[in-house]
Amino acid sequence: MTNNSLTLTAGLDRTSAWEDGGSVRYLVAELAAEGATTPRTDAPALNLALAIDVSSSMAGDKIDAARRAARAVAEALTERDRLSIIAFDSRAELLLDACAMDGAGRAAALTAIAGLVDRGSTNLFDGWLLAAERVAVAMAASPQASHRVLLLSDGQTNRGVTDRGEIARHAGALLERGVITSAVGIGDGYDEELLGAIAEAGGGNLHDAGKAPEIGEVVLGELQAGRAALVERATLRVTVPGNLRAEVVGPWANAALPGVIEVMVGSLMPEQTKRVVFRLHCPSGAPGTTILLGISAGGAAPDGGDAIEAGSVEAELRLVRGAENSSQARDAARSLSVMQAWQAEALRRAVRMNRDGDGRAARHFLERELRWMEPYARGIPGADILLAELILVQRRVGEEWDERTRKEVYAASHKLSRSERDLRSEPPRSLSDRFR
Amino acid sequence: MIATPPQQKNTSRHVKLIDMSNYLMSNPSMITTEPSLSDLAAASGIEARTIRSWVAQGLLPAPLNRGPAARYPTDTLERVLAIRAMRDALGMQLAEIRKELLVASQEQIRGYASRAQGLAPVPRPQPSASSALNYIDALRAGPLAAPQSAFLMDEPLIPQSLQGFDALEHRLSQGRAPPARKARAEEWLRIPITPDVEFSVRAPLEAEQRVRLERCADLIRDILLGRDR
Repeated sequence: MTNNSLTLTAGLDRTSAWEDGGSVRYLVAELAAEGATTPRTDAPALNLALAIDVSSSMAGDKIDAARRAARAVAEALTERDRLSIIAFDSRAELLLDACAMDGAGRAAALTAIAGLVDRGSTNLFDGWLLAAERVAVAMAASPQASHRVLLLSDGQTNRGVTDRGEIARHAGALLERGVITSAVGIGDGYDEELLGAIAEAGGGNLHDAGKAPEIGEVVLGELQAGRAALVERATLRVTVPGNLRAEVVGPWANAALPGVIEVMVGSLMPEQTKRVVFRLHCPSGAPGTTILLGISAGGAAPDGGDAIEAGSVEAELRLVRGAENSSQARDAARSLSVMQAWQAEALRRAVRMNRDGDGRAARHFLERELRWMEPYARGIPGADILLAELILVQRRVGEEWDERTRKEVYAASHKLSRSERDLRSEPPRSLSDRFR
Repeated sequence: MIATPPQQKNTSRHVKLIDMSNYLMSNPSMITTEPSLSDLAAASGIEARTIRSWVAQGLLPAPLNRGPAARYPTDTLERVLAIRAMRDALGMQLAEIRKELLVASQEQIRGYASRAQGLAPVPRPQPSASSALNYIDALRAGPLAAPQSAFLMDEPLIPQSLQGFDALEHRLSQGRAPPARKARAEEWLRIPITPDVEFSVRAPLEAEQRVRLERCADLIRDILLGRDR
């Protein structure tokens, strides 16, 4: 039984829209969890599987670092926790099967970890699936734990199921059934879109580990996150009337069914607030018409148990005449959140175009985004920095970036828009420093 | 619980046109909220593969973008449910359904869709501790084990012997010198309005422009059928 709770607040950047339609307004929903910070012995047990890429590109420093990270995980777990280790290249191999981390289990884990050696091509899906399966088997036997897969990969998947959408859909399906997936991208060659999509749909985090020593930092950080989470699998639901078009801004896995948008927000840590921004395209209507949006959220206790629901809230948008619409005040804090989500989304898309070799399209895309963003940013304290960063990136996005630059811009925008922390002891340079 | 939003004045056609133009101006590339193929499949109880075949047959609108993350116009679910009801509850053939969809008003489509409610799957209960394992077992054993096959079905097959365009080209070129290269293919979109009237528009079109034209086609159909008042 948990006493943790989920707090939901939500509101609009501006509460009125023009009667003739076409106004764009933003809904900002904030989710935070509260609860007693549990001492280590009371933290939920972990049922963790490490799925480790051992394809030939991992040879050298990276496989060494993955071994060290896995050893550190085995040392950090307690006898209440279970660890599975899966090595995958063109096929997936189970090295350790949901072993309790008591003395004998730890010894078995260390032997298994020593067997991690680099070999062929990359079948990431099979590696992930085998890891999820071992977690699911242990989960069926003892549900009261935090059930997690941590995928470590440095490459592009080229065997088995390789379709990003398909793999992410399965990660989402398993999340609905209680298994969380996070991913660590190692080096400069990993597929950030694939790992990002898996982590977003899988309710976990995407970590960038450019250098070998960073692998251990982020793996242990993720482990601590599994311990400290107050709520897991948090989901945000927004009901919108049929005449209002809404879209999620930012890298959130979401499902849109008629009248409802569901966003997978993932785990919530102490003192962490996750913000999700929705762009609303407002309809026309008689002045004084009000449009109600219902926002609710729920999640699960991290010990694999109870459902936790937040109190639902409503946001009200009113259609008004032109003069009243133009003179309305706006919420500065929410407007800044909108800018952050918007900037991060624009950066992600620009990185994708740059990687596809279409620097010119990326430059034009950011030019167009800036044209819309600049008027929105006027008068918002803190927005100038975001605009400046985007302008600096826009000037350089036409060039051919190296993979490290792409990875860092992608990871930074991903973390910023999802309110996630970079777990590395030495976070990468800021965008301004990198492009100035 | 979420409070039910109050009923809005029914201005949906006008509103959608405005929405689209605004959408084009503001940010055509942002993530949209239209359902994906898997959303449609989950909500309707119809297999994704079947929905794709209905799209190919023109029973459903084409997705707004390409690829596995493709999204469909918001009213697609209603059409899927309507087709399901016409097929399963009323025993209609797909050709009849196609004609009916071309002339049915939004209210009529909604009426058909509501008949599918009894056929639609009940919402999934909260997963049990073993449901993750069941899912993986099904994934390994069933048709899900090759989930990309539905997409691969659209890939052209490599012919074992000459057939189709290969055969045509082979036949035409037999005994003739290679012609001067003059013909250039053009892509056109065809939007059926009624069984006797269609729109033809030169491609490429932005997905949003296509949706607007489809909306225009709907308005023309209403005018042609005397439903414009």
